[in-house]
Amino acid sequence: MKKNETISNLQIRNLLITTVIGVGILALPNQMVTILDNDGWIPIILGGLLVIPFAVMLDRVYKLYPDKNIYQIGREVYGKLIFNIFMIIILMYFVIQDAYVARIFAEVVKAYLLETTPTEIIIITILLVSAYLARCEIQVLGRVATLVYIILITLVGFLVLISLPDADPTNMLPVFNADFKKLPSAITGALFSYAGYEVVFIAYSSSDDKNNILKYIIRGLLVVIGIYLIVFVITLSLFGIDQIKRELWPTIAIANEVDLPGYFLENLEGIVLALWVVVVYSTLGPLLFAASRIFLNIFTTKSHDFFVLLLIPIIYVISILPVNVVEVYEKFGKVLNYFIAVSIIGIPAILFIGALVKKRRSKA
Amino acid sequence: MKKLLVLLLISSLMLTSGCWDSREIEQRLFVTAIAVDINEEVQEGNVNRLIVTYKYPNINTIGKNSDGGHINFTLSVPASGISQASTAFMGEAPFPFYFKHLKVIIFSKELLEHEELVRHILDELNRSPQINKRARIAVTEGKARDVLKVTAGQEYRTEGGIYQVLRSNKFTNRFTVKSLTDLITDFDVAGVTIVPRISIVSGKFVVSGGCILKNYKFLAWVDQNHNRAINIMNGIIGLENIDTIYNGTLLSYAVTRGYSRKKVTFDDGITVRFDIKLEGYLQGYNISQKNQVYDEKTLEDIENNIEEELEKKILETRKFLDEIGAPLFGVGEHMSKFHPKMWKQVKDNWQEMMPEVKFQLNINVNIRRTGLTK
Repeated sequence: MKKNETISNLQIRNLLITTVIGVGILALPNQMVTILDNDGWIPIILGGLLVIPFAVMLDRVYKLYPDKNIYQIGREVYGKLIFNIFMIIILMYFVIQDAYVARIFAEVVKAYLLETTPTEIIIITILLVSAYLARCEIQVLGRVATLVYIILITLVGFLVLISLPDADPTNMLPVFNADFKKLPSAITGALFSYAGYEVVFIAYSSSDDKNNILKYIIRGLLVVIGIYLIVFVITLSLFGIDQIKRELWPTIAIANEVDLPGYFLENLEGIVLALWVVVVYSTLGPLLFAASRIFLNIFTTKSHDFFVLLLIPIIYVISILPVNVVEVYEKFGKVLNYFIAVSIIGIPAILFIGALVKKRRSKA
Repeated sequence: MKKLLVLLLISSLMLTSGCWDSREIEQRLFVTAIAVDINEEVQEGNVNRLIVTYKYPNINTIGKNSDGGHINFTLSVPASGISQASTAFMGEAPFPFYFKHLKVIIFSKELLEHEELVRHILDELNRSPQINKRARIAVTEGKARDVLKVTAGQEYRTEGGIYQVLRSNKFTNRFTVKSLTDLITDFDVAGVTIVPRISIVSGKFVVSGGCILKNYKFLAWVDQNHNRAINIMNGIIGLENIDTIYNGTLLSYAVTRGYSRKKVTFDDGITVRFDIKLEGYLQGYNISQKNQVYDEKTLEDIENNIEEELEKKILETRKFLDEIGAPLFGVGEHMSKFHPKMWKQVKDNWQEMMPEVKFQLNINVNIRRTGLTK
């Protein structure tokens, strides 16, 4: 890698936040409330905190092998063949995740904005735009993330603002009244909302200040937890528990709940979705970038942009496989969950243990 | 070359403004109100059991160059559902309908006697991404379509008069404002809800009192006095007048603000304490030299008088609600939030238990001002 290809830790933090927050935020309140009723905020916090140890492991691995990127470390620890198999699993994960995000994006946009536009067109359009971003280098991604971060905060602020007049905070009650035997399954559910933080695996080696990066990663995760919590609280206090269980995408549904004076200023889902589209874009782009980077390292080519274009048709085909929205969430989502578990927990743990063992041995 | 292309692309955006889904704004009919009636002539096996009426503004009468004519149009058609009607209308309406500006939905009482139809309509409205969930609901005794037809010519432009009245409880307590979400949530939480009643009196619409619905079905009408008591108990307190007889003469008290809080205790059965606090001023009494109210003792006396009057009204309303089996004071909801364990035990036979629940009314009326005279 060239010397000037570094990004700041702040950009890595923003990259983490904008990649993690994407389509999951729409359905999260519904999923949590369905499992744990009013106490759905607990797994959101715990799920997010659970990711932190793995981020720490990753940081340790990088500290053990300074000045190397994740592929070089992996190969050194496990050998080329085994690590390439790992990489292919992660690659599949990124591809499936991208397809999943693109499909849900298309479903939401079709439901709220473009009723007569075919789903295929919506998917292809967003994929091509993301491809444009993914073909760039990591610094560009970092800059886009910083830009989108502001938009994301605006979006959350806007949602809070429009839900305030009709929100009833007592809908949060009763607290600590749910069946806590279901907590583990709720935490696993919440954990999947933190998928996408793996981009820091790749961004890590480009950081300009590797000593402090962990602090920024943890801060990024805390921001994500905070945003998820805000969204959970406003949707719950606006809709109440029973209605939220019915809503497929409670977060966007907030836009249908506003009552402003005047007649033609009421189409707020347009504004909300316009902001949200950018947020999804900044999820798809980095994921696509990560996938093509893996290709680059497997085939050891000079540039990754060719692979981006190669991946687009594959992602497109996977994304149109589910026949309806139920299948997207129930089947597609389930398959994806296994990959997410491997990617969030498996890879950092395996790398960490492997690297630790290897270092000990070489010392002895 | 590249710059030119970008410039061309950007400037082409200007040509697309104003349209959505490749349709110009004037080629859409913005439905502002919907009325749903029962289709009486329907035969067995026909799914078109409703008569759906849309009201939409005449876009041509808006703006400086308006050419007069009808301000609003109404269209009625037998249909199976609310959105299904819009395809049925395509034979007579020039453009497709658009629901994002829907403000008012009016149901007829007859319709509300069919639980399965109500459930169907509510589900359809709740499911649609097109419909603003803050649309206001009202119920009418006669035909719902008549309400829209009568008011079609009176409405000021697109700002619906009905909507303006149904918009909030800020200036009146004689009915309880209910949006679609509120309605659905009420059914979820308590199974009972109250919706404003709209009626036609000498060619004009009047909103007063309410209609109690229970389990997606019509239960009873309530007059505005009962409705006001229900609102006060639930803490919905807008500008309001309370009339009472003090020393043999009429006295009116204007409420400017207030609150109502509940506290449930379980020492000896279930006891609910309502702390109701009203603030306001003396609106009118009796002009004479001796009937001055300008001393603390008299004011306190008047306050007590109003408190008693209010308590009497509230207890009357409670008796009425217990008789028809409609727990509308929000006690169940309060218990489910603040005493979830107790609520679990009682929620299955809550309705039978309701008359046994003890009410402790702690009403506190304050006369802060007496107006310009003593």
